Amino acid sequence: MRRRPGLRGWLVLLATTGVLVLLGLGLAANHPSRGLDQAIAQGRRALAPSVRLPSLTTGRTYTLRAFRGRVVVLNLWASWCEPCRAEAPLLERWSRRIAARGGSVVGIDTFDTSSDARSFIRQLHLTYPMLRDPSGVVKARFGVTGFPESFVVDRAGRVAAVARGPVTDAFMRTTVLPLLGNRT
Amino acid sequence: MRRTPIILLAAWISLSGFTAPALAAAGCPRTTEVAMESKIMCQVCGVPLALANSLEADRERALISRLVARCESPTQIEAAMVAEYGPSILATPPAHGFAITAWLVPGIAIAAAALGIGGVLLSVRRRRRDVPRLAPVTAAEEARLDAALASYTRRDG
Repeated sequence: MRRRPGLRGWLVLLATTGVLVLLGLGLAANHPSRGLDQAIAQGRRALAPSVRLPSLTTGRTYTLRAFRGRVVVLNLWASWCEPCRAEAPLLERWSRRIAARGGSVVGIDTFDTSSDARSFIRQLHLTYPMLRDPSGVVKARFGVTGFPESFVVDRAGRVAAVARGPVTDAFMRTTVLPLLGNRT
Repeated sequence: MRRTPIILLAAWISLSGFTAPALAAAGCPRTTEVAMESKIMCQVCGVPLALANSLEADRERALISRLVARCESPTQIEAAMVAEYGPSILATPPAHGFAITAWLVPGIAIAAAALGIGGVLLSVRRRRRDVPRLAPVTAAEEARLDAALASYTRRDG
């Protein structure tokens, strides 16, 4: 005959479940999401997480939704990141190159001091829109683990490609140019 | 021409004579970089700045040094860091959102542990109380015990 658990048994079960739930939530909060990469690997395009951030230079608030209809290269960077410094001139060139064809490069400065970030922009003569995400909200949503990382968002607002590391000319040619030709 | 350096030196001495006591009276600097490093996180490393060794941590340290040099208090420096980086920059977790668990869990764990210990103590006490009392020793049993002890004493002697 099976004995039903008493009050003490229920309390132990409740406490154990509570601890496990907390551990799970903590792990989920700190573990970077790889959903976008998995979708791309399966040949799917997941909808890009929402972005609503202030501009680093103008104070105006931008949303990713406002760029719907354009191909967006979302680049997460920081002024203390040396590979970001090396990559920025290439992004500036591509920003000018794709603007007329319906493409935009958007920088998101993360975990950075605003004055350092503005100096970075001035020194490298960057003209594409720069947003500011000081506490890394967008970083968490996109599952960013290092800097720089870039996300190519198609005209429908779906993530078509991810560069975990600096982008190259080859990456831009193979991922961005085909999307610019695709008007649907 | 030669008087210029002397005039400059005199001006510097008199100015430092006025400013130094004023700064000392204001308690300047009001904190140190080292003291602030345990209150501020390195965002990239996920550890307090005091333990961090990264380019991002160095930028945070530089900002703190500038704020300390401006004679800002620890509270003002924390506020400036939050304005610059957001609330996650503070080593002490905020008392809202998921971070509230950092405050609640230790309290709940201590209360649960206290309840558990209390429960165990109560059950031990109850078990002790429930132990049946032994019947008093009768005269016949005492006589038998004496006889047994006497026989042991004889055998050993």
